[in-house]
Amino acid sequence: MACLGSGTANASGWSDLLLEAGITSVATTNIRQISISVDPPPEHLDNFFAHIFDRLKLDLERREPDAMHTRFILLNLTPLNLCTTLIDKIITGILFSNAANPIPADCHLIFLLRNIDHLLKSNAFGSARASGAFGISVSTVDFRGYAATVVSGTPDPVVSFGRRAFATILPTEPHKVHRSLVFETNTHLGHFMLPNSHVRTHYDLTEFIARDNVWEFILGILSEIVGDHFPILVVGTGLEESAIRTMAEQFQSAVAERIVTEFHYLPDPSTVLAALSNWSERFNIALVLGDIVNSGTTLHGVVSLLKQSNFHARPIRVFAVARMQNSPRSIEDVPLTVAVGIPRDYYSAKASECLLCELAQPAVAVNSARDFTRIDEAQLTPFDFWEIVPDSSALRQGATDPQQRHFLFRVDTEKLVKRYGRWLENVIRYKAQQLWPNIRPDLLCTVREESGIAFAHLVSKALSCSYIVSIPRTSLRRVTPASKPMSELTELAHHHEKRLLLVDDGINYGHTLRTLITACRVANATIMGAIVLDCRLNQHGVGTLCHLMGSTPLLSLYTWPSATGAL
Amino acid sequence: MSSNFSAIKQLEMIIRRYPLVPVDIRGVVLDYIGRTGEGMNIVLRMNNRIYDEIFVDSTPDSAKEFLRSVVQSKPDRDELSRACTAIFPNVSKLLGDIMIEEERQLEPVALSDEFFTDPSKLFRISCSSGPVADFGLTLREVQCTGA
Repeated sequence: MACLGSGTANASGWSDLLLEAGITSVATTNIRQISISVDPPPEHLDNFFAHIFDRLKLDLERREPDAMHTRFILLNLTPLNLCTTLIDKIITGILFSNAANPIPADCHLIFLLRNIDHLLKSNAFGSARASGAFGISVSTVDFRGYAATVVSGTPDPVVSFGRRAFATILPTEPHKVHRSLVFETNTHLGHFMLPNSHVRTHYDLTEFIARDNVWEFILGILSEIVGDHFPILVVGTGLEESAIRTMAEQFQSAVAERIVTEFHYLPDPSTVLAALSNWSERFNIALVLGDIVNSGTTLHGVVSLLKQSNFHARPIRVFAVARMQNSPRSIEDVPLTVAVGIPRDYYSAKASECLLCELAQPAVAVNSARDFTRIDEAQLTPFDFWEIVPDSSALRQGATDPQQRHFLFRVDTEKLVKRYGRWLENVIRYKAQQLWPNIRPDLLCTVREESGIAFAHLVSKALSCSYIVSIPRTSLRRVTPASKPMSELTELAHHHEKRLLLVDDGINYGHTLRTLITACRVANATIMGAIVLDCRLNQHGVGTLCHLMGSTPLLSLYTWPSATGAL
Repeated sequence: MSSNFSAIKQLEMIIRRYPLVPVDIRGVVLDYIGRTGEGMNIVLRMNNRIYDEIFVDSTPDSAKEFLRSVVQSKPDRDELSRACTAIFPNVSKLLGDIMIEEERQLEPVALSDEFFTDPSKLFRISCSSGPVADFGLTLREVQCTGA
């Protein structure tokens, strides 16, 4: 079997999927995952899929057909944001673009989608079926657990199947789900004052649970804690209303055929809901959904409410997406089940007992999930910076930089960008808006080195400026105020009327930025300022660079001047 | 929002509360000294744990590298060494080691054959090759100039 474009999936799960969906009755043993790309991309999307399938056919032709077995080709389209128009283009590209060289007849083509209706209701697909253009077996499977094998001239026999295979295909191991939250989800660092606690971090849970592997993991947990009890009352509570509603809706959708559920969202436990007053008469179990548990006070209120009206001794289950390491393990004697444990403490809401208050870390009072995204003008504070540095293992001692200069201590900005890029992106966006209100750079200019380019990409995303000019160090070394623009710099010369933002990952002595300024001046570019991640110059050194840039600002996310000049 | 936030005050609090605050303390100390110009002995007095971590529990090489980045000139090193002798003896000892190492680095320079044949290589100055007497300096004076 060949599976296209899903390199991170667990290969053995594909065989389980075909078995569970009833597409084959025999386990597939020889599974290859192929990633095919078309370079350069064709002008039209129709041609793109035709090219993809040409490559796939070449691959199939190189391998001897096995007379005893069907060759399954599973086309994973789930990463695409599909609509029927796009499906039409894909079908046209696959089935109609190269009629003289069709897919070999011993193949069985399977489309993996989020919803099989996208394919079954596609015009191009309908035409292909009516004209008998397939020539091969075609099936479609979706993430909800529905499948159909299409036979010309007959209605689509849609079947539903279990989710075991998806749990195998997707990376649902707990450590991978933990990594998804802590390393790959948009994170905010600050000092967030919640009604019952203070916290240092916030994770975008809506983004987190939208991941297939995360949802599959959560669904597995929810199914297990609910067991065979139904009908189910689902009660959500917490600040992350959007994430909680999504979770509840997806859970309802996943169990809809087998179990009756009803969902209610309680902004806080003081909300009076008539539906909860006699819940134990109508439901056999109550499932409480929460976002991130700190002190557990919010969940405590809801569980307490449910317990008070539990006249038939129904079981109550409590699930939260995450909890802190010092959060309670149970709520009102009901065990708390979570998807992820966050390796941090929450702090008391009393200022005298909160470390963040003690450190005078700028605070934000949180009344809605949106407040978590607020950034203080003082950030990055020393606590922000010196906390993310060890967390990213970024402080290097006795190391050399890309220019082979020896430093007693330097910060590896690449590591910071890799680990905290999502948050730094938020900070850059906020700071740039403060410094250059309503102005966006037209292009970014940096030195062509990995660390510089990594930071430039981050700035590019934060400021929605996709044009990056990178200049090789060798060219920068040659440039002088009297030079003519060199070949590498002619690109800059074409943009002299545009606003250019210089980007450097870190300033130690300021040499790189000086040469970038000179290069831009030689190319007659209009510099709107510069942005760096960390700067070791003192105020005088920064002032000199600003002066060289025509009195435009230098935005440094963090400045820690050297005491001695010995870096 | 914080208009009266002080980075120095926060650094000072971090230093005092370490290791309760999960930070890279070497970076914090470098940052604090860079901003305030305070001596290393003052920082160590704020929190003795820092002395243990940087100057007792870590390797001597690492500790010496740290000291090199906070004090450079000989007078500053002498002053810090004097201030630390009684309470932070490892700092004084390491500073002494640094000074001895730097002096040793000069000795082979002064005595090598190359010094007599091509002094410009060693002192990174432009001069025509010739006998050392051309400098009009004694051996000891040359050594000091190199330092």
